[in-house]
Amino acid sequence: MIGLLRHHLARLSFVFLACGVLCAGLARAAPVVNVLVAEPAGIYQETANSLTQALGREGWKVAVTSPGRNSANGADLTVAIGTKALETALAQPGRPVLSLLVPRLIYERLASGQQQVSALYLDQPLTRQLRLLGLALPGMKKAGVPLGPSSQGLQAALQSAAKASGIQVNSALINQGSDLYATLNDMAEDSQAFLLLPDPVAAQRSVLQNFFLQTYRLKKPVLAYSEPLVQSGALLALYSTPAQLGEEAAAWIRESWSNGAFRLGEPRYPKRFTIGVNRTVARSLDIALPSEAALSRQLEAMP
Amino acid sequence: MLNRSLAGMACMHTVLAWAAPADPLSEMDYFSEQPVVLSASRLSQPVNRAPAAVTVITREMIEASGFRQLPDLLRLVPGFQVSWVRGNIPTVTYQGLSSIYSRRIQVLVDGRSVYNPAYGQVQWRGIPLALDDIDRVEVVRGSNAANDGVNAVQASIHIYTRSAADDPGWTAGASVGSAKVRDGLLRYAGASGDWQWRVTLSSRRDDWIKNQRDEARDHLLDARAEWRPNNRDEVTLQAGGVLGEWDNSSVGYTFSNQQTTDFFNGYVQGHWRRTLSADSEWSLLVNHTVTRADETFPPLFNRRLGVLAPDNLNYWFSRSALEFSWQARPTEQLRTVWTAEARRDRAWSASLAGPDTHQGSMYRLSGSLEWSPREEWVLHAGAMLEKHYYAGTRLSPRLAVNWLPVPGHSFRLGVSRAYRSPTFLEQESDFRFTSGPFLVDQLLLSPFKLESERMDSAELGYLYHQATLGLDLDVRLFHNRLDDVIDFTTPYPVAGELARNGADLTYANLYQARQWGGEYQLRWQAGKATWVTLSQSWTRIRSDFQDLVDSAPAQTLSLLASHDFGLLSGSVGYYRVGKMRWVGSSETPAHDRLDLRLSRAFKFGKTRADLAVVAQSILGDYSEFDTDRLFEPRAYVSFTMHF
Repeated sequence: MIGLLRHHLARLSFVFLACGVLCAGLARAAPVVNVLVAEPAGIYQETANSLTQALGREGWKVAVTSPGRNSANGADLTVAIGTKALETALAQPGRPVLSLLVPRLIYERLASGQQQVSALYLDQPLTRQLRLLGLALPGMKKAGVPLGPSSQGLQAALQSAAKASGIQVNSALINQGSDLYATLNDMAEDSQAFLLLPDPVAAQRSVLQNFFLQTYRLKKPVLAYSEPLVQSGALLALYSTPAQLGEEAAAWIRESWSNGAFRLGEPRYPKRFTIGVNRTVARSLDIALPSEAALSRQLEAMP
Repeated sequence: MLNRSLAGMACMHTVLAWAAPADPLSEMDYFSEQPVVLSASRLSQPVNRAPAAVTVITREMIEASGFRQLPDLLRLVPGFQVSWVRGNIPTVTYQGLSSIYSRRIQVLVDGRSVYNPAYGQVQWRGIPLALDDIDRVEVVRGSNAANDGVNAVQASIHIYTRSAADDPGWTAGASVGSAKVRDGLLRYAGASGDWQWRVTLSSRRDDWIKNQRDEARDHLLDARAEWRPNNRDEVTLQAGGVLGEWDNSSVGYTFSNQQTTDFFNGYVQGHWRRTLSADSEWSLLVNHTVTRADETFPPLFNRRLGVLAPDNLNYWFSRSALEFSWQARPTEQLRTVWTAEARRDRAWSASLAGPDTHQGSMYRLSGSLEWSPREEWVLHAGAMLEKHYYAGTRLSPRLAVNWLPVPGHSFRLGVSRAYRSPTFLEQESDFRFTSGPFLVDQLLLSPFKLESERMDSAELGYLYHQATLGLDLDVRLFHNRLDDVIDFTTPYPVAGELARNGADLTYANLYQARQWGGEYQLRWQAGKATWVTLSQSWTRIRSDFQDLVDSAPAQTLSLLASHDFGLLSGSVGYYRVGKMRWVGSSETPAHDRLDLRLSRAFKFGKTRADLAVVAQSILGDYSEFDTDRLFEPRAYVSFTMHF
């Protein structure tokens, strides 16, 4: 009787052991990814949906949580969507974190030097932006770039982008106070277009109004960084949509999973992008623009 | 390679912008909704796709010209004639055909008509607008009645003022010179939350004509506020007024050179614009204007009858207007603009048009379609249907086509019809001297029902644009037929006059004229520091009235060139007008005029300053009306500070 019991226990423990080994093997094949969204709505949810759908097609299991209810402590990777989510994820060090939907400047401020943390930036590489200006506007030599307290951190990056793209930049700092017009007029003197970068001061709503009016008066087109801005008055905008970022992040996550661990590598700019064109502004400025698709193809073909 | 080696050289300078403390950068900056700033009505149509010839006078042209007064700017437009009959009677016409009451040019300031329904013409000096507040002037050369309705017959001038917080901060300026030039300007522009505003206080004084008593002083206040409560709506409120103290009369004739005019013009305007998308918006414009002039002269005396009435040429008029307009782009190829407007004009001048207040309403509907089935073709069809108190129901259509066969070249062909309604003074004039119950002398009377004047026009345009050389050329050939021209008739017998001092005059539809001509304007941006605008025009008129035949100069030339020397900027303006005649006046001899301007900009910290010296008519005296009225050489210095 006791022997029979022992036999059963041995079989049972073998089953458990086998299950354990199997489970561990399965876990290695499809890691647990926790998607932490700054808010369970809007652009964050849109990015998360695109990411989870792409990973779901591969049979990956993805849990979506928000900072207040972040319970997925056992995840192999946390994808933090939005600044608030990144801050929460960084508060629990020691696990790989991929930052999404966060501009480079903010990411570098929050996560510089941290191990196992990487990012797919929200913003576009400056070289790509300058190149787009070069492709869209024949005779483009120099772009005026108004910078604010936040975006002036991009000075060095702007200079190397200017070298890489062959388009010079002429930047000026816009601060609290009063003289946007003189600044824009000065910059316009030897610039063929303006490049608008996000900044809470230089690109805030009240400034944008006058910025677009004055650049239009100066007959200088603007390349901006978001879809709403192309509606507002920019000739062109270069940006990545939440869906594009989600899909690109999913591909990156799949590629970086090997041998039971994530190796994310260096933070990078998105490869996928969208070009927005305001044809009404183009007509008024008498600029013959190639189609968005043609511009995209040419820009993608550039190194 | 040079470009590449220079590519990394970024210059950085710190300046201040109108900006409130803001939240730190966030991802929402990339996604949050923004107001449509460059909406359809803010974007000007490219000239090579426009249905008519357009000259744009920009701020840099205004500054380089050295002109202090608004009508002088029109010297920069091909085919325009500007004449100062007196310091308070500037008059402007396009290709002649006009008396000193230029009644066939419509003028709108931010969409508000400043055309005087009492006399016709525009009292240029009485517009509450400082030259410094003008953003640009767009001049449609030729009829524009399909857009602007009656009276936009020969040309249509749209003046746009700067947005409220354009150049925020304080601006103070003063000009002092010969010919009693004394100007002052104080402006403040600011912003707070959803509001932006600007207030301008300005004063101008000059003594225009040599040896004439025509010193004029104007004091003006103009205010503008813009409110943007959300991303779709923008409300602009404007109000302003001019007080003019003018020696001599504001009308062409006077009874004593000791007469003075106290002039007032005031307006209020509200404009609500809702932007639905970059191509679609509607707007509601409401405004009210009041003008009055007190022109008392020493009473006339008759040996037998004693003192005669009237002893003044006082008048007032007012205009109220409500306009709804809707712009849309139903398809990528088709753009539409629809407007509906109601206006009420009132005018009174007991001396000139009897004791009653004359008034009338006007209702308008207009639509214009711009269809571009292919990139190289644009077809325009527009029409204005109006019910006017004097003109009756009229349709003013326009058809035009632009052909852009190769980049840089475009052609335009257009035909249009426009009407000029009789003015209150033409239709209701009753100007007589009386003594008690006795009619002493009837000078003016309007016994006939007047018809509108009608102009049919055809034009051919060619535009050339060369970006590398910085060249823009605009050529226009035109033919106009003007019918039912209103003018004074031969003496009209009036019973019971005790004294007859010359003919009794009445207005009637009398003449017709045909006009041919050509003109061009050339702009050359020669590098960053130099630009030149040059225009010339040639005109011929055939008419059954010799004054109309002589009314346009055979040739005109206008040149403005500017160069930036670095610390200094210089500009030169040269204007030449051939022999002509303002209808009903004596001949104006051919004349030319040379102006120079030299300026230097300074910067002290946040303060910008500009010191300029302007010399006008340095070739000597010239006359642009009759040979008695000379514009002598003059100079002024102006200093402007912005802080």
